[in-house]
Amino acid sequence: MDGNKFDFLKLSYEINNCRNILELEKVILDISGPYGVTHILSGVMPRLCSSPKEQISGVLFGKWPKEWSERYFQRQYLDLDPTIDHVRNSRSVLVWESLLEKEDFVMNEARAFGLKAGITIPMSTIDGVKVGMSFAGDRISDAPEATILFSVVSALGTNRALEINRRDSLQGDRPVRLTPAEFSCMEWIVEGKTNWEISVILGKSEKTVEKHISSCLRKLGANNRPQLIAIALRNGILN
Amino acid sequence: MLIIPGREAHNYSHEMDQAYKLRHDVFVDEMGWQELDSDAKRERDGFDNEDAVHMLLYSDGKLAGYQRMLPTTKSYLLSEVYPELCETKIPRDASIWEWTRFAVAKEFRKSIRKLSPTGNRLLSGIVEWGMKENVHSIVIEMSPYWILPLVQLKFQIQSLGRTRLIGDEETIAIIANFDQVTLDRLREIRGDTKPILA
Repeated sequence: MDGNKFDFLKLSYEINNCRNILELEKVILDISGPYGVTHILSGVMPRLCSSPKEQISGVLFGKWPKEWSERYFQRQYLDLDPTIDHVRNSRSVLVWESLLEKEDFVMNEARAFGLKAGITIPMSTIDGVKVGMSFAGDRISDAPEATILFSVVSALGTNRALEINRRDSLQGDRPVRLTPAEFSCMEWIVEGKTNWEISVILGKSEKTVEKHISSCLRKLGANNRPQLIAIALRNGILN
Repeated sequence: MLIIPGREAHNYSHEMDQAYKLRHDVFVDEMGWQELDSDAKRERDGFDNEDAVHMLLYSDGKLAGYQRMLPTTKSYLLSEVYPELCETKIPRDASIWEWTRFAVAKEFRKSIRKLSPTGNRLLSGIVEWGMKENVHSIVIEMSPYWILPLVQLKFQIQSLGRTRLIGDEETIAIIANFDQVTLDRLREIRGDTKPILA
């Protein structure tokens, strides 16, 4: 960040030139490294009490301690994780330090795996899907430009990951195509509506809505709604 | 979309009254900006002057959305009200305007987080207007929460300074550049290539 410390056009160029998720992870770590960041994670928020498989399918990209991730998903820490709770319920940037007083056990255990300090950025896509990105390490810079950098980089990185997933799904052997009716149902599933509510909104029978949704599940290979939303987002079916 | 230059606002008193009412509904009643409250239930301020450009979006004959553009060559919110948000030189250029008072009427919104078709058309209106008037950037004071949607819509973002608390909302000043790619993206999402400006 030479010259104007708030000029992010160069960062935007570097991130948008990443051709795949691995490159993207490396570029973001290079950009945020000077501010003490050694680990990053971006993901779609799964619903409460979802299975570990659903939770993992929400991850968009990241470099996160492997042993910690295994422990975390196996022990169902996600629903107890204060950073997840924050992304679900707040729009403001979360500095992990502010959680220290609460002696949170998930955060305390994470410290042993190299996640001592961190910052979590809540975001929302144009489809209204909640996404969170965390930057972590032993010590994170508290320079004002660091917080802005994290806010901008999390948006640029998450957007690029969604674009890469979308491109990959379009280049796949059998790109997934939803019918307009299925797509309308998807839009309301993202809003958390039940089959009955969707049937009222779209003026269709509940049975028809059920049929559209099971067709979406089949086409996207999802077992349930949260996984459906995550896969649809990863594959660029939702914008 | 109806574009009303501030100096012609007196010729559109009915339309402007509706616009000020929508602003009151959204910013005072819904968002609770009590300092903007007025007995008349109309929200207006000193920047509703001759230099402002008002954009009113209608749907089925109803006022569905509104936004106000202010030239950065004159006094504007960032330069007068929130200068602390800008830690570089205050933007002053005929090609840069400030985007303020973005409001979508409640009945035209699906959810708070999601970009509604009305919101999309308002933004498309700015880009179309800008491309016609040789404007290619907008200054925005907003929550950093909205950076991702802007990036997804192919606006190129630069921040002007650090995030600060204004009221109880984290606020950042940014400058967002747009071009034909932005317009194409907005139209793709809307699923409609018809221009918003008549």
